[in-house]
Amino acid sequence: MSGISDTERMITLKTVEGTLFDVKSSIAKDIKTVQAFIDDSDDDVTSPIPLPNVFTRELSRILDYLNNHHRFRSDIEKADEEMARYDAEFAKSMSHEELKALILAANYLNVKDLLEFLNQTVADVIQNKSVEFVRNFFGIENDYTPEEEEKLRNENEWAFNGVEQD
Amino acid sequence: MSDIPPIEVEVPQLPDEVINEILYLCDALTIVTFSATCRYSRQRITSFDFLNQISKIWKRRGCSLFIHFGFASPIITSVDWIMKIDALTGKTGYLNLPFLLTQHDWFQLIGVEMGVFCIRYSSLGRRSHLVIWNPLIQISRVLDDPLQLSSCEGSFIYAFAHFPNSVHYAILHIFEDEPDSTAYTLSMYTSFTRNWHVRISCPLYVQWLDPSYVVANGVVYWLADREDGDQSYIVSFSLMTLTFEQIYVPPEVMSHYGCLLVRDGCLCLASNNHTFYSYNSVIWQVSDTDEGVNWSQLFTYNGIGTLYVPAIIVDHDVIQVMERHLQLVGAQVIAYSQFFCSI
Repeated sequence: MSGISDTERMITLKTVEGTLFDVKSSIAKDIKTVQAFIDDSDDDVTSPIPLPNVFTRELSRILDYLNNHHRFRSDIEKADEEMARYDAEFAKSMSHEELKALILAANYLNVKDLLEFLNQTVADVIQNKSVEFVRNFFGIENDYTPEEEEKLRNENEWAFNGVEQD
Repeated sequence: MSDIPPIEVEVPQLPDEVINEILYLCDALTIVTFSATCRYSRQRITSFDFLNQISKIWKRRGCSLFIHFGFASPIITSVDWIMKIDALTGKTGYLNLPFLLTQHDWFQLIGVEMGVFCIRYSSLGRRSHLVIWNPLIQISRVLDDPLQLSSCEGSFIYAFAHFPNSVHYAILHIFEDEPDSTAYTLSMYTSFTRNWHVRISCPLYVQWLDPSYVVANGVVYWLADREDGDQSYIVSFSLMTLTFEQIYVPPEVMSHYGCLLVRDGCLCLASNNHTFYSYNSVIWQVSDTDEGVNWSQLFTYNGIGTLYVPAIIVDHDVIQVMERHLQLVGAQVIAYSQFFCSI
């Protein structure tokens, strides 16, 4: 991997598929689950840390996000602007299923900033959308009868007017 | 990174705690939409835990607090007295009420809890009603007023309170059995029975109640408004046990005037000794234990106008006080000021 300081300690992470990622310890600090593993280990962690709930695609994205954010923070003047541009592209590059998979991985790895950003992305995605869209997004099965659903719509008519077309 | 191809698996659903975190970021419309997706979603959105959490989060983000301040009259006849105040910036704005008011109409703000208003009003010269109103989602429920008066005469007390850890609420109405009688009766409306069937004869000490009240953990507290020289006391009514209790206020705690507050879920009393101006208010915490009632002095605050102004305790360590200075009793407002006081 490029840009790795010779002196900085490296941590190796292993995904479900067995893919290995070398990560700078400064980046690993932002991955709280990994950091907790390191802190709990008596000796220096030299063997790969297994991540049984994280797939290669998601870990690759998470590390990409963390590396870029570390890089942006090193240039204070441009940090906010570049970070916002990068975040917008990052969110746009994913399908809804990929977004959910990434949330699950970020939640498991306890990457706080990324998880907050992804949660906000979902909040933006479902804003002003129909009930059906929200059901499909979260994979929720409709257990209302048609009569109950009609009643619910009448009760909250204001919320169902003017939603975007899915 | 090693060169192993990724495997494709079906993405499992997001866990409840993650969905909640997402919903905390959503606007009210999206939350209502989510609640319509299935029964379980609706149950989650209307649960006490969710409402409690989201109200805290929105408050931290500067969501508006709705408070009523002004001269301590039980009946308000001017819409100018109701303001919307941003918790962080202090910016104020008018609050549009869910009924029409003309100059001959009136309303009484009975209480605000968990973002829900309980208002008594008479609109367009008609008989009075009560309305339970959630301004966030613009939903209201109109009830017949037990008094059904179109004027504001008479001796009566209303209170609005939620049951502990619940979204269900009660409206209390205490009224004289006969004009000039010393016997009072309490009737209670609850959101789950949707009627006023609870009627209780009040103990004799349920008299001279100040219309201002506070609620803590499903118990409603009033200060008895006694003549100078008589020992003051607090009257409490528990929604859970449907019983009244009387708590005497020691003379050293309050020798002239006070108002009740709730701080961090505990009953407090702000008291001062000045006849006309209300400086140097002392805040006391009241702890009602099995061994008896303990009064502990928390701090002194120079500026809380207990005679005119309800003090709003925002959370554990911040007090926000809205203070209005009155030129004449019940007349024009000339200024107001705001304090944030760290304890």
